[in-house]
Amino acid sequence: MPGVPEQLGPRKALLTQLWVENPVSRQVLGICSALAVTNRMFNTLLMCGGLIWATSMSALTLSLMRNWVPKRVRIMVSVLIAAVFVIVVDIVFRAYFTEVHKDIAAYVGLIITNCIVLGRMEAFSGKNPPLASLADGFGAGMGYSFMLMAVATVREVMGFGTVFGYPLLKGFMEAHQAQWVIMIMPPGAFFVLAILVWLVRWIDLKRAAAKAPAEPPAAPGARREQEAPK
Amino acid sequence: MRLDPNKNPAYVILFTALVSGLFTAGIMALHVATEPVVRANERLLTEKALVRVFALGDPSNMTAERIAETIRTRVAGLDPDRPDEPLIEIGSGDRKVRLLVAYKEPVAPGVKPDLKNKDNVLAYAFPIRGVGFWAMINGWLAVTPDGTKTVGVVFTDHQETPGLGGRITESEFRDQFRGKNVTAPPPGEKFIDISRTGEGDRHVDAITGATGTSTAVEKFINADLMRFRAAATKAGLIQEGKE
Repeated sequence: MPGVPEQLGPRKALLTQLWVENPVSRQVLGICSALAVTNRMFNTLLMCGGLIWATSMSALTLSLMRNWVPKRVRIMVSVLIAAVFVIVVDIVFRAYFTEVHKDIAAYVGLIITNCIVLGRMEAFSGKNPPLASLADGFGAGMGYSFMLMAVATVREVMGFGTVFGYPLLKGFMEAHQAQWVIMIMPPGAFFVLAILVWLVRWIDLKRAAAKAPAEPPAAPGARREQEAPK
Repeated sequence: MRLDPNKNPAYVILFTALVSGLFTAGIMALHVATEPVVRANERLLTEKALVRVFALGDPSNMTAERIAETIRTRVAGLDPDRPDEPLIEIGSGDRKVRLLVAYKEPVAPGVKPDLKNKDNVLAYAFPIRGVGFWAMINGWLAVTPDGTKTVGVVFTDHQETPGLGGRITESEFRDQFRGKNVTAPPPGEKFIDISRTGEGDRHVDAITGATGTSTAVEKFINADLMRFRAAATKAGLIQEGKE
């Protein structure tokens, strides 16, 4: 039917969010937290866990309610649902990971306004069945996490010479590695993220070029016409 | 007759109120259910901080019960409900300072400390707080009973950059505060000098790449030390003396 988008199954929805429509590299969403939390891999991992939970559960909940939500309050309901699941993360961290909570409390609050959560609810969960919405939300969270962990790995290794706080090549790194401060500061994330986004898109272009059928050789006259304006 | 959610204003209002109420109730229930755990964990964090600042042991090798017992029998003046507002006050007016007292040997819990008798006193600790590079930093600084040397420092709350200013909580930085000279400094100098270069018994190495945090910590630690010394001298707790 024209004008109605094709509904994705759970598997396709998951895979699309993981790579083809990756929230960070393709949709350029969630950049604020990508800059803020990625100088330590452990903090990034916790943030990613919180976001996967928030995107998955928000998507599932909105999808289950989608037939009863009035259109004029749908954004308010979406923000409310996202806030509830983020507050759950905050309460659980505060209760059971108190020391870690002190480090990442400010970032957890940021999930509520993370464009990915609201973006997927608005674009997908409000119009699709629960299982596909859950897969879409989970895929968006995983796609975001994949990119963030990649950024965090580069920044922590270059900035601290450690992986999850453990010294890399102990002894050698201490002797030869100087702390690259800019990698720890937010500007370091700009550089690493930009390079990663370029890399992902370059891979996509290469794959698309390899899949495209070879063009027939152009006639000599046509080639001359194309070159004439130069 | 089927109710159209998009055309009936009463439905919109009722739906919004119901959904808001239900979700809020759920969050409140979870909050209430985890409150005892949160309070216990926060109390344990405070107790760990005090064990560190008074050098009463290594909290990472102690059980929660052992930490609680150590604080209960060797530290006086702690208000469990408001740990950053100790019960012991010295000085008056603007010069009032609240402090905790740590003992060398265990004492009966709840005994009111006799500030004139220092035989069993290991150290005094007072809250330190000030604006860091990003936001407020809170902590404790402990000094010897004669007020001449530091015993330790801990930072309990901060929002500094992880890996940079956030390293104020790491032992490499904190351990430098053991045994520093905090007698009244010569005019124009500081009790504690936190900088990249320097030496002596008042110097602490600043954190590389976190000059803003190091400067902020230096500023409020010196201000709090000055307040403590003024109040403690007036209360007869320490002798006034210059280097």
